[in-house]
Amino acid sequence: MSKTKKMVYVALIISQALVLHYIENLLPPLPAGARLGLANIMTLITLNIFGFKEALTVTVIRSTLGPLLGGSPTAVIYSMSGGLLSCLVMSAIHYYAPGHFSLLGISTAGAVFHNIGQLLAASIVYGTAGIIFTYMPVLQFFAVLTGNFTGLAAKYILKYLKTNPLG
Amino acid sequence: MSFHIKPGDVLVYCFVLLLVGGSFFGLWSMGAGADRVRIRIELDGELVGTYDFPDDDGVTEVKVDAGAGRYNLVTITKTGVYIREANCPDQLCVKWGKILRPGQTLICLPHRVVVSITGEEDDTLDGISS
Repeated sequence: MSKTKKMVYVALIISQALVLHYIENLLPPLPAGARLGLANIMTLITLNIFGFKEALTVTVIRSTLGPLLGGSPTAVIYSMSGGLLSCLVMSAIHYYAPGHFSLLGISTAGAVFHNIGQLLAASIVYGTAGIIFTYMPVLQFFAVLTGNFTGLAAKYILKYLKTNPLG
Repeated sequence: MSFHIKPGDVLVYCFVLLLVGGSFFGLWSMGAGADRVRIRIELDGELVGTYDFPDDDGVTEVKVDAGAGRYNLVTITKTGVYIREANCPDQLCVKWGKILRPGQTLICLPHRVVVSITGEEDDTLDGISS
């Protein structure tokens, strides 16, 4: 695939991630600020089709623009810290433990570490570890559900792309 | 398509259980050895005030003014602290409900308000510190 073609695909994926981020804001909220993490589907797909560098690009750009679209610039800190940690962990599993995790498992690990990144960021901003301990259990409960859900979505998209590859 | 669970997946779930267990342990250790439990309200990292739990059925209400008409109404009762009302967009702080144990924290990200329960040991000069 040519460099230009790849760039266009990555740009398309970012725009799709942003639309998913926006649609998620319209859905009824989950308790404790838990999110479905639909945009994570795009990170996971990028990691599988292209690789770490492209997945990181998608994560950084969507984590910056997503909260701005939602009208809360301060949320960029939490979106970025969660997104980066999630992307790093999913990439590490993808490259260093291939075959040992299912796609749903990788996605769940991503969701779990997204929460860890966000809680760490919040506890540093507000200077209290109590935030981590209070919100961790309920957020991770939802991470297991949403991580499997987004992993399943990514699985179906990747299956489709296998028979209809990007040209 | 196969939906087999792989060994790595089990590792992920074990890690989640560890995190949940660790959080409960963290909360417990923050309250261990405390002689006196107080409520601390912060706005934008600045202390608004510290409050005691009432002994009786009294109710203390603290209105935290986050500026530009934004507020959180913190209610303190014998059985716990909760944010009764707030005009933040996500209402997460209101929906969370009551907190009671030391270490537990309520947070309103849009208004940058933090309500936490702290455990203090009685070896300090209370008359001066409070």
